[in-house]
Amino acid sequence: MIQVKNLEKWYQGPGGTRVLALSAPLLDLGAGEEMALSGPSGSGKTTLLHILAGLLLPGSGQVRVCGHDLRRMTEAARDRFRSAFIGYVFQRFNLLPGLSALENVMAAMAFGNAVPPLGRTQRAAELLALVGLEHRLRHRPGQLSSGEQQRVAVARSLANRPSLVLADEPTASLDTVNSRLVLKLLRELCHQHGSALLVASHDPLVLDLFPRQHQLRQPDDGVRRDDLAAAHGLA
Amino acid sequence: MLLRMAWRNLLARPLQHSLTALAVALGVALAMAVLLLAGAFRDGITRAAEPFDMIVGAKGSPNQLVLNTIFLQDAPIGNISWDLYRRLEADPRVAAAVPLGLGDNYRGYRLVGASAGIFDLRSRPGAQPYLLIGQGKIFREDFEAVIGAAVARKLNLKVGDTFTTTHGLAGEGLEEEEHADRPYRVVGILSPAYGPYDQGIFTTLESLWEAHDIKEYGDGGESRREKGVTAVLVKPRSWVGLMQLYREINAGKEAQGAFPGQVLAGLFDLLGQTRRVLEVISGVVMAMAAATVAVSLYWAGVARRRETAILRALGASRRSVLILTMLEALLVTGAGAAAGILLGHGVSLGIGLWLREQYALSSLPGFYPGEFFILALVLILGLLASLMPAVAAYRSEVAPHLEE
Ligand SMILES: Nc1ncnc2c1ncn2[C@@H]1O[C@H](COP(=O)(O)OP(=O)(O)OP(=O)(O)O)[C@@H](O)[C@H]1O
Ligand SMILES: [Mg+2]
Repeated sequence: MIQVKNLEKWYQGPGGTRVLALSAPLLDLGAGEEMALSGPSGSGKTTLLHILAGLLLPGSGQVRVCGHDLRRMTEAARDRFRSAFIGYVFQRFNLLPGLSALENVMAAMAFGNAVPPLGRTQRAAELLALVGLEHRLRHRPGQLSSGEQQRVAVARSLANRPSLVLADEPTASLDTVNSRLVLKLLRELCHQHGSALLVASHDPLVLDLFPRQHQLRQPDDGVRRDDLAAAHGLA
Repeated sequence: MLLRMAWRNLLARPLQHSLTALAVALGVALAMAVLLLAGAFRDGITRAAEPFDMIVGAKGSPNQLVLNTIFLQDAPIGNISWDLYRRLEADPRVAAAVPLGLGDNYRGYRLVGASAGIFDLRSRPGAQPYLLIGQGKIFREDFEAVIGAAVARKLNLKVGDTFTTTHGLAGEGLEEEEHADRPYRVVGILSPAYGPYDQGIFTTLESLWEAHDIKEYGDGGESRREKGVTAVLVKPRSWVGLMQLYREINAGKEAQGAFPGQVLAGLFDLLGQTRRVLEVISGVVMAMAAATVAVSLYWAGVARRRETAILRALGASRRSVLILTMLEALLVTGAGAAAGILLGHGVSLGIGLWLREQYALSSLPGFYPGEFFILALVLILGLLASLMPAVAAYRSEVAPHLEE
């Protein structure tokens, strides 16, 4: 499902400096498996998820996701790849504010062809029922609580029956009760769909749920960032 | 779904997009009004000129002659002799000749002295007469009057009513003794002709002369026919004969002949220039509307970068994002254009009604056959305007905007 080897991603920093955003020597995830991705802030968790989703081009190293070598794909191919294989859950929900809960889930289907057009409303309603929102189908994101919004996002991530669901700090904007609920739903739904799940987080509450974890190290590009935290007694 | 998203995106900023649509609507409305009114104006004038093949009148400006005779506007140039009328009438090339005398005003409405032949003018042989009696009858005796529909309506005159005129233009303040004027009696009211003659008051030529004589020489003036007529409407037997006659008359010293159609075509050229200016103005307004669409969608797109990024993260292709922006442009310009077409019709209908009221110009602006063309043109313009914001959305990066 995911095979990463010696992946590095550099960014152009300010003033011509180069910033190493991510360094992942080895990462493997099989079909239908779940794993947590941990690491300190700035260690490249978001960067890695973006790369795996085909939203960012990998730097050096190898990345294969669902049998696709992301380095060799055009942008259009990566768009198709994403709609066919990937579900994504964001820290800040990222629902489309103009659309209802139901339409948000359907919007994801609109760009793929995993669900035939006539079955979309029904499938969206079913997914929302699975996350306990059958009474909120017509609500706009602004009319939903944070927990409810993230549950819509969970439902949406599974809309196209993805092989892999990527979740970037899905509970960071939620309270403890909602965090637990959202994570439970996310894992249950992925399990039901046979989708692999990779959850990035630095929240112990989240990490403890996952038997398998992958820790990203602070990439070392020569600048000792750790010292900053240490100097402020935060390390 | 894309269409629904486009619609929702627009609804998310109702004020901004309404203003954009309004800009489009104004541009379209202006263009429509110019086109419709120009068309209606030309139609109205042409139709008013149709029953008149050739007008013979005193030498001078043909424009003035035509405006006098057909539109009852402007001051008459002068008179031609009764004798000339008799010769025209007797000419074998002439099917009918109607002598016309423009006389006094009654409360702003021109008195027209004519032979009964005026009720037989037709735009085409076999067509309905231009002037139809709606109520009452045609004048037979002197000081019987047949009034135009607008005159009857405005002055609230009915068959059997009487009125007296003052000499010359109304309100000129001539200190004439009112009792010296012989009153006219309304014997007939015309059905609306939707032309300038709706504002005419028709009577016999003799009435005009007599009224005049009473004023100038007291009752019982001598040979009234000496006064002549203002114009003669000539209906030819054939086109060739008409052309011959036209050349002969204009070669002579007595009179001029004018083809209303030709004269009005000349006037159209003048109008055409005004129209061209208006067209340029509408073009500028349209271009500004297009720029508004472009800028508005661009900023809406910038404000929505995150949403665009979300769509991309959901698997939307760049092309979908491009199409989405273009759909929005189509919706905005389409709504604007539709509103503009309605508004243009409304405005030009209003102006048309006013023109009809003021100048009795017949045609009201109707459906303009090029409307679909305008709609298509505006939509294409909207699409072009959306290119810039659409390409901006197309090129917008995804990852940086996802967690903004
Ligand atoms: N567009 C960019 N240009 C330059 N540097 C970037 C860019 N995006 C991220 N970085 C840098 O890359 C590093 C990794 O960022 P990333 O967001 O992946 O970390 P993270 O592990 O998700 O952190 P957090 O837990 O705080 O979300 C950071 O040091 C960041 O400053
Ligand atoms: Mg992050």
